[in-house]
Amino acid sequence: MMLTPRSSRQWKSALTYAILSLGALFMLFPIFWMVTTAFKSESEIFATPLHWLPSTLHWENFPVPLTEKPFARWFFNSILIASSVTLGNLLISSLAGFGFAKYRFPGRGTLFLLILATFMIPLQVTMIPLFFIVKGLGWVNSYWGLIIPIMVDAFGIFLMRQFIDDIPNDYMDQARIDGAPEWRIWWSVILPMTWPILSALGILTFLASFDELLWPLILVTSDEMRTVPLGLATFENTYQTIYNQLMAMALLAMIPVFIVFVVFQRRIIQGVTFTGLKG
Amino acid sequence: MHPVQRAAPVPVLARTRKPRREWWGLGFVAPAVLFLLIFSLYPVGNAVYLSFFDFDLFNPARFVGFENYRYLLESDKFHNSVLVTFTYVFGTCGLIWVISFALALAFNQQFRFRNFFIAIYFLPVVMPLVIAAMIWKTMYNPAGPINALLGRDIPWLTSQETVLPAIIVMSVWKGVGYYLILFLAGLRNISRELYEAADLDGSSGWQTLRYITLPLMRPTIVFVVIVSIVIGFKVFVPMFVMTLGGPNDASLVLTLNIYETAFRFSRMGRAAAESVFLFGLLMVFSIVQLRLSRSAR
Repeated sequence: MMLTPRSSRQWKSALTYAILSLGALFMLFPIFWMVTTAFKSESEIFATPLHWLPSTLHWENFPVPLTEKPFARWFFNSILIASSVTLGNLLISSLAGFGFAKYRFPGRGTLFLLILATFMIPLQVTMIPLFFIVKGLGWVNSYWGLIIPIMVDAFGIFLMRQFIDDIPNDYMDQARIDGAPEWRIWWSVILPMTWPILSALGILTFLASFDELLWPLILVTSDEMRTVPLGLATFENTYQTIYNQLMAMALLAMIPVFIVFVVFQRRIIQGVTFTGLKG
Repeated sequence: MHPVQRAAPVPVLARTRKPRREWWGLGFVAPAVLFLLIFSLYPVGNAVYLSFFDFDLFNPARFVGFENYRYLLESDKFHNSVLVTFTYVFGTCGLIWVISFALALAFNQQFRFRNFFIAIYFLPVVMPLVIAAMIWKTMYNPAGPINALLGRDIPWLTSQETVLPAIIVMSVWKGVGYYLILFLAGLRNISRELYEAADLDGSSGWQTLRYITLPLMRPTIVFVVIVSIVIGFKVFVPMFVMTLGGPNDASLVLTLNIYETAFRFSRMGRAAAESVFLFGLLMVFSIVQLRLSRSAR
């Protein structure tokens, strides 16, 4: 019988701690770099030897890109689109998840498999036909075009169904005995009970939608309709990139994401964990 | 003692009530199905259809049969982007699988600041990919911090040998946190008692890993592998932001190639064919993996 000697265990955990801490520094370093670059003067960015910290805080880096480019408008666009996509996704995914989990109707299995299959479909495959569909609807360069086509995804439906599946039928039966119509059951019974997964899915959808580049890239033709990622990307691809201003804008764009993360971090990680358990 | 007679036949009303209620399910799933039909499934079919034509945004379409597919078979540029994509996907995924799993093992116990550490590892995951790509692009600048830390002068994004590894490192940085959480979820399901029993039996760390942890983690591992590979094939933003496929197409992944073929070179039919190829690739991979996971059970 062998128990790991105490000192060996202590060494092991000290080593683990050291490695984890180094890893944490690696994770944080790019953020550190973004913040410090945002405050540097232009000559400092790539000076040799390397300036790790700005000599003084150049706050003027921030308003300059804001005035040159409609950053505020981009921000508004992104928030509007991301919120709409999130709401739409939650609504439709929870309805569908409920339907798949708690009802037996013909074609149920086939339809569900079909929906799962769409997870494999990358935007690159659908983007050309989608573009023409959206063009036909007159939605090019519009909010509708940016929201509707990417509103629903298999992931959300799958998640909601797995979660709702676990809810005992007693609650529904009780509501039925009380005379509630089926849709009422969804609204008053199921929705409140799925709150944990709903909020996690909502946050993940919001973040993913905020992050989306390819679809706006294809659809947007005017500067004011750009989203934040698209605006940043085009600001950067122009003739000469002013890195400190770029980083300043990126920092501003990061702030809402960062706030969401800090506030909802536990919920987000719970949501991802749930997908892992049910995957 | 004679058996109790349960005689009364089920009333007709009760018999038809239940199935009628089940149809509500169809109503509930209808919006989602409709959406995905219109915006996901139909476009795939349409893309296949379009791949037999040659067209761009302005001129009418011209039927060309399999010419686009012949291009795929013959074009060096296309072959190169397939190779680049595979290199990227398996380079990134391989590293992610190993590192996230190792991290998950380390995090699968209580220690001080554990949750704080987890949050830090997850932070790159929530950062918008565009921003992450831009930051790394500045970091990879020859006069930037990475070269400063290494004490060397490597042309990361402008040299054909280093560009893919550079992007892979960025992708690994961005993704490990996510898969760490997935692996942790799987590890949680393994009861402590199994580990204690193994410890009592004198099992070494490696043996425990091999005979207990890995087999029990199988569903999670399959899930992680499938998801990471699918996401890997879909990669677009880093290459678009950091290198635009260069230098010399050394980072021209399939997705970027498709985009440029469609919107820069205006060969939409050809792009459609390339996207059909990509889709086929993804389907094959997913099916193969699902089969593998199911058969060895």
